[in-house]
Amino acid sequence: MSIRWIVLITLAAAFIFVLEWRRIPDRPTKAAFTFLILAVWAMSIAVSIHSDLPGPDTLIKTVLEPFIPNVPHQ
Amino acid sequence: MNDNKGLESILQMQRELLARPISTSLRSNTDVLRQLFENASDVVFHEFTIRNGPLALLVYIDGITDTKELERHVLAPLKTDGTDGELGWEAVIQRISVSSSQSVRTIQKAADELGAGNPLLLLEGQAVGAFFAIPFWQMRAIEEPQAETVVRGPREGFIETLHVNLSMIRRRLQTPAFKLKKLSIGRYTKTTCAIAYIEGVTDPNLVEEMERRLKDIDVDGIVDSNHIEEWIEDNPLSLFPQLQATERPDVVVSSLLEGRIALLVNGSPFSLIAPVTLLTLMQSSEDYYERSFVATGIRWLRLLISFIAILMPSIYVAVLSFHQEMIPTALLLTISKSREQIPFPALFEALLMEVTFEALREAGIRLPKQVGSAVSIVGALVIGQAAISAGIVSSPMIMVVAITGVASFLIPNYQLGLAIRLIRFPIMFCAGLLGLYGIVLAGVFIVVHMLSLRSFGVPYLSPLSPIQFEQFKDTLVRAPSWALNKRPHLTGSIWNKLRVRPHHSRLKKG
Amino acid sequence: MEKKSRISAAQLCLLMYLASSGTGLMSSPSVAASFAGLDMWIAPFWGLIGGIACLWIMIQLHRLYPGQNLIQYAEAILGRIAGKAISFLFLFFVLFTTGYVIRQMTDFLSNSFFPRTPPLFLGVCIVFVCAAAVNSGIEVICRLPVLFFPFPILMMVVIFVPLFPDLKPVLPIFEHGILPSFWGGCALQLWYAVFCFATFYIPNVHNQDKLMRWSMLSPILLCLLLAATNWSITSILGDAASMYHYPFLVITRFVSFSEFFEHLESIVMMIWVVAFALRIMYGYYCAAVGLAQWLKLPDYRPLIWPVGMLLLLMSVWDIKTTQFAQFDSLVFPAFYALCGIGLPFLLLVAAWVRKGMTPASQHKTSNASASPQTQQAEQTK
Repeated sequence: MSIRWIVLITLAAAFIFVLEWRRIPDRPTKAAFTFLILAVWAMSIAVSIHSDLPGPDTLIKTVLEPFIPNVPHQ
Repeated sequence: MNDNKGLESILQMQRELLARPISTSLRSNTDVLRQLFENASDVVFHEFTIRNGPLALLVYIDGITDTKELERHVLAPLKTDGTDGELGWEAVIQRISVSSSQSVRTIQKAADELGAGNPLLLLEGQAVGAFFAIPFWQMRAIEEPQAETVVRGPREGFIETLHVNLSMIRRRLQTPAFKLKKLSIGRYTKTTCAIAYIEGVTDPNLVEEMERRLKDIDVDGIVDSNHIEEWIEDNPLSLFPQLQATERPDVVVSSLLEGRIALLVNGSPFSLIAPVTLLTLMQSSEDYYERSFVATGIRWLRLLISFIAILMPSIYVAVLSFHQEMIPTALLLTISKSREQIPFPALFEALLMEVTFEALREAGIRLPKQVGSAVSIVGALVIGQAAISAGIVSSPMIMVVAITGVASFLIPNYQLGLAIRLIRFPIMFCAGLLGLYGIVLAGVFIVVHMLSLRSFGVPYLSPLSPIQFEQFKDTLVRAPSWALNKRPHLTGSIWNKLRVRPHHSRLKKG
Repeated sequence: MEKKSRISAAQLCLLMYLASSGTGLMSSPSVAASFAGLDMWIAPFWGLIGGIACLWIMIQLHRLYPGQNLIQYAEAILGRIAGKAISFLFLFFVLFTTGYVIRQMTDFLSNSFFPRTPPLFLGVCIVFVCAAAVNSGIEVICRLPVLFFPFPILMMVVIFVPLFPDLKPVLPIFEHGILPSFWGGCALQLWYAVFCFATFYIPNVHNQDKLMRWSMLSPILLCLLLAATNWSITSILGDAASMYHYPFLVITRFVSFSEFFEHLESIVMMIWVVAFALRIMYGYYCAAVGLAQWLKLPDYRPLIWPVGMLLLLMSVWDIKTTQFAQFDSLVFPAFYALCGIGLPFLLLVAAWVRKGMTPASQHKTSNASASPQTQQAEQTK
């Protein structure tokens, strides 16, 4: 199951990279594009292997939870 | 290697011959021309002496020149009356009673004019030649256009000859503001094209833009107006036509009066109109020749049916595969009974029948007229019936395909109809993959594409996309002619607003 | 950036309204119900304050720094490092919310309509379509709502008119005091704070004089829509409203026209998908443009596909399906309000201080006289 997703993610990233890289006119954009694709690819692989990897939700919760009053629900 | 050298030497010789100017020696001119037109057996060289005058050479291409005119008005006076000893051009032109003659100084121009059917006259001792504009060839009679028939309205259609087409438009636009700009495109075909527009109504930037795009074309040949269309359209990769191709002069004249420009191409009965929007392509000239309420109803019918033509097979596939709860129970039972023995999923069944229908349609075009329609209708029915009895497709599917096929005939513009027919298939795939969600996504994708499409700068979905409320009078409904008092505002700079004199409405009393 | 595209204030208003109402109709009733109970129809009015504040702040900031969006003027206001940090937080907010919306949509479709399709595939499809739209530019994104807005109106008419006889006034009001509806309004900042994305669109609006009026219309319309919807949900479903995740969908199942067109929820789904697509495009454009400007790149178009992948990643990362985390406590509304309202307010105050005007004098003078003052301040700089 996880192998399938990893292959798919890698294929998608490679596909996007190959299609877009040549069409980018200037170097800073090329560098930013490559970095972004690599970062997203790495994070996606990490998330698909460890589904419980703490992410933005947990980050927000841990930062803000102490400050929020406990409101009664209806 | 040898072939290439041979080819290169042939082209080099042609270029070298064409680059020469007309020389004063008639002998050398004759040699050059004979060499150039070697093995072109329809070129006639007639060397003669003008009575009491110089030696002369008449060259023309038999079949595209008016030889009667030539012999009666050019050769006869020169041979019988002559120039009384004068050797110059003034005396010769004096004798000739053809009104349109112009001079040539280079072999290139001489060859171009010969190719256009204009005979060439060269004199001994003169480095200038003359050609007479008397082309004549067999052409088709003016008939009703096959693809754009109307019940009420003119039944003239363009033919392949440019000056006849221009005359048909000139007859309807008898104003000096109607301008024609001629260009010649294509190195071998030297096709004459004319840009037609009305000065003072059309944006001059539009004319300039069209001229610029045409001058950029450098090809061997243009055979049909579609070739030019592919060169000048804004987005060559889009399915949707960005110029309107029409065979009817009245359509051209109405478009010119709205501020558009028309491009007529010699050799093609289809003229191109630009700029054009999607809703313009959905209009038929007949809308304007029938009563306004009726025409409005027919327009709405056409819009509705176009949606059916695009979406019906996809909705069928989507609803049957994913959203069965939407079908009313009685209908659901009938459909499932007829689909019981079908081994294929709905998507495959739909694709099979749609492709078969398109194939029948294409085949029907090539069959001779007498047999064609009968065979295609009978063929469709028989194939459909046989397929149902063989258990390959279900009868609701045949119904859907038939309705879709009929619906696609309602689209007035043939190119748009083709685009819609083609676009059904990707939408069907999306429907088979993801049901109504897929249809919605495909629809959004197509709308996004159309929103970014422009035809000579005019957004493709005007007047819906940048909303122009004034234009709704002519797109969503068909208001009567006395209410259509403003021209459409197509491009930015000039807008000649009024086309009906103000305070001239029929609704006011007195 | 490239030449400025032109959109009109009315188009922006429609875009913001449609973008927020799509997701709002679907999940905001359950949020409001869980905090406010029977008072859930009052909650949108409390939340409106946040929406108006958010837009007002963004327009003021644009008047101080015309032609720029938050990512660009954050550095001018707070200096390079603090500015980049603040704008990074804002970008994270944009990416996070848009990713969450994608998750909301794939959950909704997967639970109700496509149980056997992997939800990520549904997300990929819609991100693909939205990427095509973002690639075509801001004008296309702002023209789509104009083409589309009759459909939600039609849908509301078709759903509410048959239900009209069943609607009754919702009593008692304020049974547990004012606070529950207030907390409901706070929770609704999940939708009202998203109006802050306007900062990426405002520089392209060509009729700036009408901007304030048109943009204020947007949260007001949203408030009225949510209030009306919550009211009808409460009067039809009563106390059971808080039990459903999608009360609005439940109501649509009650509608049937003459026993023939039953089960119209697939049609509702189609309209919702377009509303969701608009919401995703709305945020996707902001994310792509914001990221490109944060990295000081000349054009945002090459970044569209990586940002799309990033959005899909955000939609699956750390969000459990059974947990509607954003709706249980006020943590996420607080985060949204902090980034959408608090952060721009901080920037506005800092900008005022920087440009030599205190907030006190700003409140006393009218907005019209503020602009020539700021222009003078800029010229003397």
